[in-house]
Amino acid sequence: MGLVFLLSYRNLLRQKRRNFFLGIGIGFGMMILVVANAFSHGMVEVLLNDIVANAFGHLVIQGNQGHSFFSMISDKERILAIVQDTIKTDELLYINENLGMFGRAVGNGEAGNIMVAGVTVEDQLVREEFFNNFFTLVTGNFEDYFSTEIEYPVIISAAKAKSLNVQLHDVIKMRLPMITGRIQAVKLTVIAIVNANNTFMDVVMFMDGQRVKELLGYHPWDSASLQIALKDPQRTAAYYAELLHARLKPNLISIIGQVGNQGGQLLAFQNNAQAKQLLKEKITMISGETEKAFSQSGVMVSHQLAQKLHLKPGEDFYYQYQTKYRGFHQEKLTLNAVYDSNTRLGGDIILLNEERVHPFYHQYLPADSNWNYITANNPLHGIMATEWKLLDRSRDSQALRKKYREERQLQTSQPKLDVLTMYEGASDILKLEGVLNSITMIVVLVLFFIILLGVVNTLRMTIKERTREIGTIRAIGMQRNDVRNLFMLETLFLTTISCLAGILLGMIAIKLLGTIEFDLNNAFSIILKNSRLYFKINPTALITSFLLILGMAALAAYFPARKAANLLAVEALRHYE
Amino acid sequence: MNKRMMVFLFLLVSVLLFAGRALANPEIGDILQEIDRLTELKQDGTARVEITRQKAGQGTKVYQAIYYRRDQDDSFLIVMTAPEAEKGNGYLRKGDNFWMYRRNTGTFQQISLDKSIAGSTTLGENFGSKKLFKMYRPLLNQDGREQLLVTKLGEIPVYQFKLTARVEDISYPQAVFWVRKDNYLPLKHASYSLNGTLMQTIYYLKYTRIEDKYLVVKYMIIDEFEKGNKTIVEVKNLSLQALADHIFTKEYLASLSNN
Repeated sequence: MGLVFLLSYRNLLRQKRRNFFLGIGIGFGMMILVVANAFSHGMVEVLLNDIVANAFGHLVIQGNQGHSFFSMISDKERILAIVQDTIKTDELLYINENLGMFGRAVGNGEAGNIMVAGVTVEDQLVREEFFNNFFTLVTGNFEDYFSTEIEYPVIISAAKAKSLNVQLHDVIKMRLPMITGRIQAVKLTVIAIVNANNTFMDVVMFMDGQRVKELLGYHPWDSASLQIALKDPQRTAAYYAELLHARLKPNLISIIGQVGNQGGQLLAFQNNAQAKQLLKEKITMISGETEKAFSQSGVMVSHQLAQKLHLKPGEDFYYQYQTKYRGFHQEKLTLNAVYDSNTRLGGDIILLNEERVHPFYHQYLPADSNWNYITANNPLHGIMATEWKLLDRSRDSQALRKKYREERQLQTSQPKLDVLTMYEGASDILKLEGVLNSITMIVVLVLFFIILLGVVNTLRMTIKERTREIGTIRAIGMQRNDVRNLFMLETLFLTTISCLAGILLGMIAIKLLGTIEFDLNNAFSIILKNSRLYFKINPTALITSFLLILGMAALAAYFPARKAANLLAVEALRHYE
Repeated sequence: MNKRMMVFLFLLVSVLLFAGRALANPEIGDILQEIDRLTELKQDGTARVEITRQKAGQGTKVYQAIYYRRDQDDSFLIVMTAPEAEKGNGYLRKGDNFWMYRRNTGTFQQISLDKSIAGSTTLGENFGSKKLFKMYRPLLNQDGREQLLVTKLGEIPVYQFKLTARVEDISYPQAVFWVRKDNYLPLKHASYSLNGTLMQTIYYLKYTRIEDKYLVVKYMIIDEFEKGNKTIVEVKNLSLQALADHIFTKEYLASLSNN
């Protein structure tokens, strides 16, 4: 076999010019493949890691109440405890609230729509990452970001500062809607003008997260959606998403409180027709209006409690309870009906439609609850209302959009919680990489098909030229397989050397293309990093491409090589051109 | 003191008390309730609405719409008829629900009443009956008293008073009203943000009387935050014929939009 290797290598050098041009073709194809592959991989990396991960988080717990545009989780402490209990400390980088204010800004005679992102940078790691990797300072001082003497300090991109005609220490007026829908007006002070490392961030201004939270009207115990950054998101994000989803299962609504001095538990039933029908079958009305009792504002009281309170349908009463964060809350209720206490719900019960409960329950979270007032196998369990609706996990962006579209159609004030990873949220971007790679591969395969036609043709010519030589080596004892391998190895040597040269050239091309600075102000600019194209070589994809080309070359060479091997020595020796 | 004298003094005191009460300024809460009563129409209404939006540096744009209103159940429907880009888009209010319809996608989106109509400074809440008493209460001064001023707006005697929001879900948490002394109709209304910044001023330019009720048929909204922006809303060709229930439905809005 060593001799076959040696002969193949020697033969390769015998036809220098022909093989050189053929090698250039193969190398050029490989170079295009390397550049295109690194470009698509780099673009996805920029979109995914620099934009999606920063704007979205590797893992997100999204909370929404009603049809509010703002995300809202009404008990941050409880959800954070679940997150910290679920994700191993050494796999968790940080948890951030996704705070953003959208509104209208007026600078010096110029106005425009803006977004102010709230970034809390208490942690040293986050601080370094934020100031050093996100921006290049043009003018100003990042330390002023934390100043309490400056009115709402903001970092603004040079592009945005230009569009609003503002300079360092200028004031920008901003009008923004708060989470309640109220309009807030605020004066922001420019403390730093920067060049953002990604054009996407040019449109965003940055302000301390706590100040944004206050301006938007969140209570300290509320939270916007929680962005969770993981050390190895590719490996752990989906796993933790499933785990968190399981642990964020809501409890049944229950409030332990009192009417006057009489204790009573407040429960809620679901507002859908099926649940209401089943509840009607399970409880017996004693007095009042059933229709009203099951309406969205419906209030029922058990017979036992109604007797203790001397309450009759149509009368108002006050239910009060200790809240978790806001002292005592008193809710005025109008009794619609009294039902027989002989149900499995208990004796001293106030039973409300969930639509009557959610608006105050989440504003005034109860300090005392008895979530297990009913067992899971009780037929009433499935019709009682839960604290929130935990949305099913989505497999990709399309399913996510469909899910949210369907949820928007629902007329309910029940809050929703969703757990998603950036891979589902941004699966379209991942698909984009696949599509770009497929397009590149198809183009390169067409190119290689043409090149391999050249390989086949070259081999046919070579075989024809070397027919007598084949006859000679066959006559002195070389086996057919060795002859076939001789030609195949010659092609594979050529392909390997050309591909390696192509990879080298591709890397040089990547370096050169990566130095060109683009001054774009259109949508394409979001794929740039520091105003330059960003390439990232994917070794797996590179090796796969290389092996694929090698395989194609081997296949192309096989048939001419077999033809050469099958020549009869006598016939070959007689061959004369 | 004889009996006659006592009767005379009693009558005198009664007359003075009655006159004093009659001459005293009204309570702000009463004014708000009266405005709500005056502006809540008994009949259904149909009209053409013209919204003229002027934006700084962008010139003037005129929007036209058909407007159906029924105050009995807090419903209204607006379908845009011009310009071409807005044609077919619409808004539907039923009680507390407010939807925006986009013709190009054929979809309804639930939005809040404080969302602008056709990108102008006029909001959804400006097209329904006023519920000022539910929304606002008088802003009290340091002594805990209402601040009602009797002043003039141009030549018209008016009551001027400050209000603060009763509820959370209201665009502007503070407001100042100027209402006519003679009939309590608002003439001017300034809205303030939570931190007290003047955000917009509405001038109610023209009312039309319908029996004992009033409908504002022309008003101007000045954007005080972004100077140079203003919107004028005019209600024209008002008809008071009863409207069928199906008009205030999503299906009807979608069908109107496609015609």
